[in-house]
Amino acid sequence: MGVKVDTIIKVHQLVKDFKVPKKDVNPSLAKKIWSIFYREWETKRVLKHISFEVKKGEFIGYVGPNGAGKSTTIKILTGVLTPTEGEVQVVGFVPYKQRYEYTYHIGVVFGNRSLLEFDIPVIDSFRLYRDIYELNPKTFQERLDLFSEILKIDQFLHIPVRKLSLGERMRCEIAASLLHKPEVVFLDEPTIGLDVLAKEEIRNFLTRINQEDKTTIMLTTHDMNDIEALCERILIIDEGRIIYDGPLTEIKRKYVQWKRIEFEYHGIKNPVLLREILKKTRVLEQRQKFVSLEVNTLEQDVPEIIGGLLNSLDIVDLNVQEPRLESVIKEIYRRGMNGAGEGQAEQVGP
Amino acid sequence: MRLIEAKYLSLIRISFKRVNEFKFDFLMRYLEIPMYLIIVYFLWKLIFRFSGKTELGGMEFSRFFVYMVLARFIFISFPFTETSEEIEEIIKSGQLTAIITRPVTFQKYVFFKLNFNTLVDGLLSIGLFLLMSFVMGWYILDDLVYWLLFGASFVLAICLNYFFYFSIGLLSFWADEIFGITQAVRSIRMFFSGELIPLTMFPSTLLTVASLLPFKYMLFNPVYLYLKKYPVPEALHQLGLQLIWTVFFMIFSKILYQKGLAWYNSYGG
Amino acid sequence: MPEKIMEINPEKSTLTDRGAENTSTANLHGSDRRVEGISRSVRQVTEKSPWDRTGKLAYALKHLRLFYRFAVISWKRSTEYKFNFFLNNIQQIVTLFIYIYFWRIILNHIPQLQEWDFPTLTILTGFVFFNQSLMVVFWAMWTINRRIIKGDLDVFLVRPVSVLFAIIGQNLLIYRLFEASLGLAMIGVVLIRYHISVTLFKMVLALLIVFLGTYLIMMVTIFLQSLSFWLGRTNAFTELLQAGFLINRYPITIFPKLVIAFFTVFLPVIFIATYPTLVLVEFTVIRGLEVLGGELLIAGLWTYLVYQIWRRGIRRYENVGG
Repeated sequence: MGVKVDTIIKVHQLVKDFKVPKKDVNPSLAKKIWSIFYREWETKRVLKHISFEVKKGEFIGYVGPNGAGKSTTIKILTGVLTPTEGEVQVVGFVPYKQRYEYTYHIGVVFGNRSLLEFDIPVIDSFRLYRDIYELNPKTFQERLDLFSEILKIDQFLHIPVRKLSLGERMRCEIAASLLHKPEVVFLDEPTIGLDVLAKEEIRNFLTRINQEDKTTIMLTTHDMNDIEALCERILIIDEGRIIYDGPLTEIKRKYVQWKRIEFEYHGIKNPVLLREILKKTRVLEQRQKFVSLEVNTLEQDVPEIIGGLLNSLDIVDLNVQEPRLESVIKEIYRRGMNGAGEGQAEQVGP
Repeated sequence: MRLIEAKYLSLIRISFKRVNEFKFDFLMRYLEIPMYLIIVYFLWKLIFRFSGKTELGGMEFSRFFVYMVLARFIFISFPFTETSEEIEEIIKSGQLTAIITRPVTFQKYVFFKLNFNTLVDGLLSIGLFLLMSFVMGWYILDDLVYWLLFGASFVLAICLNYFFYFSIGLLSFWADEIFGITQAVRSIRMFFSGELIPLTMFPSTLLTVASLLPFKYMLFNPVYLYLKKYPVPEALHQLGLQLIWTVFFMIFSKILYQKGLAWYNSYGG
Repeated sequence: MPEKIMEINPEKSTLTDRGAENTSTANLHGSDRRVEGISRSVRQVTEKSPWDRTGKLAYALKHLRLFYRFAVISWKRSTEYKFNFFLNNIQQIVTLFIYIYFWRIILNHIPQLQEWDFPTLTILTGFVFFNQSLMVVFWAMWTINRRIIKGDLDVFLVRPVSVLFAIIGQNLLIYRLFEASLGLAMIGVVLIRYHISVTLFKMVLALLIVFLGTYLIMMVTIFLQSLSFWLGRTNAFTELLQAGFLINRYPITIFPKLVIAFFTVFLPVIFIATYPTLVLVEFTVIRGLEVLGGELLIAGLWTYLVYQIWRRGIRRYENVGG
């Protein structure tokens, strides 16, 4: 008779404080020596009451500038760190309290720290993880076959890791973290330093794992292309606060007020209508029969403008562009500094 | 003076900054000294007593003790295996390409970056030793001529050590990893340099073998000079041999580097 | 059962099966705190291994299997670098002979060093060698402080494995066991060559003392390394420990009583070579058993200390993140 409850990550009013040594900009020698024995500490609040929930099967992007609290959040979610205040629950566990049992259910990839043994063939590392996660041989083989198929790693399973390219290594790395079919996967910069093709392969793989296994994936990255390609929902953290939590499409709707329309035409059909339409836009560029316009999406309806253009001109080619996510996010970071005081994601926005 | 160009001076400066950072580590290395003193004192006291002699290896106990202590100070003040390892790192990590594409020579680069602070470490360590000798009332060399001889021998020992381990480091052009080699050499050096036991206690054939190897000139000679055990003519003769070994390894390392670079260029490291 | 995910509230302690099991999970991985139960949504139990992984026994068995896996990995790695493999062995043999020759030279000048003659000193050296090689097998224990400082424990903390075990296991140098056996072979040669007769029982006793002695030294090392959880860089302690090993290759009983006491309790290196040699060739069986008994006590003490410091250390790491 079950109502299917599918919240898999639950974070409520999470706070994390770190003690950091007080930095003296230009200490005297006496102070330097004294500091060997005694150091003054101050408390730095890295996470300031963050809350969010993630549903099973979601693919979530977690972004923010360096030092915003991203990795601290991930460390708390993976059980490495204990929060100062607040509550966390992932796959039904409190990570920092039940770590040993909990870690059977999650997969973690740190982009900058390798899991794989450098000098030995990949397959041996896989076998190690099989034993760590106590997989039975049959499941292990099935997973291996699956990964071989999607990631094409079978060709280098027997090659020592150090002889692989970065992209191949990362593919193996991700496969190793997913061998035990974790319910939640945390990925920290998985595509860092990879070429376009390798990134594409990894993205495809993640999408498939997400869809087929219903694996919940939380991805932190600086590469907005990753986010655009993969995530439906995005969390933006800045200075320890979640400043945006919502669908990727929404973020653009909220923050992007301009769209750009570019078109090429043969001739003018209706000059009066055209003048009307052009009044509603800002012409950025016009050379020969090519025009580039900017439309304020808050005031104007883009389809209407396009309709008008089609009616008044012989359009050869037309396309509508949105600003890239990257610049949107940049804009949000910039605004986030003064915009988000409430720690309530929903209230942020224009 | 073109001996040290400005660019190398700045390398020395970097190296000094590193020294500053690692001065704690430097002092750490001497933490073992109290333990070492206890061991050496009681062990050799006992050996002297059982031997029934007043002198072993041509030294009475008080001098013998100073020999062992100074030998240890010199031994720990040159962590030259680090030189080998850093060169290995440079070659294996591809830093070498960055160095050879810039207007610096590799030898000078490594020398000023790595060896300079070791030179400073060496001098500091002698200072530390003298301070300790003074406080404890041990024998201190009191002859200006021998101070000069000791100084020359000490500096030559550092250089010989340096070029020797530089050469070993260069072997990483060919070898997968040189850790095994440096460790093997470490044991051999410990024995044949007179760190473990003064060479003068060796049976005569073994002593001859030791004199034919370069290790004696890395440690035994300066210590023996400090104890005024070589007469001046013999001392000069020994310094000559030390110089020959130093020059030999200097040239050897140069040849090795050129061969290695040729190999590196054709095999891409 | 229809179950709603309840508000997360540690106070509302309805101990679930998972929570209850977890409290009994064996330790060293640092999550041994009492677990407040949290009701959770019912979900399909996915991959379940044939082992019940929550008991102490299962935990130990799992790590035993992991040890085997680590050993296999280590072996494969050593064969990747055959040249070094060969060189390391050469170096060890050279070192062994140098230490033995050291005693030869000294005994050229004196008949014997108190009760220690050349055969016993060689046996002592054999034990030192055995122990050193054994320690190198687990060399990663010397990297614990660095890993703590660099925050490298995360990689292990997010996996169901004992952190300490994983650090040491991951960097096992299993082939060094060959060298270790060389030390024992050396002892065998001396026993035969100098017609020293020993009973099998004494051999077993001596070996037990060496193994336990090596374990003891590992515990002391791990203890000092773990101070990095609080103190950051602890190179000083490492250096002091290394200094302690200097005395290792000499028969410690020739030193004053205070020195002997220090190396029996605080830095128990006396169990590495001095006592095994004495138990093998000098002591009566009773005396040997006494030594073993004393060693067990000291080992128990150090194990307790390591257990405590590691547990607290991990807890601190969870709060400050290395």
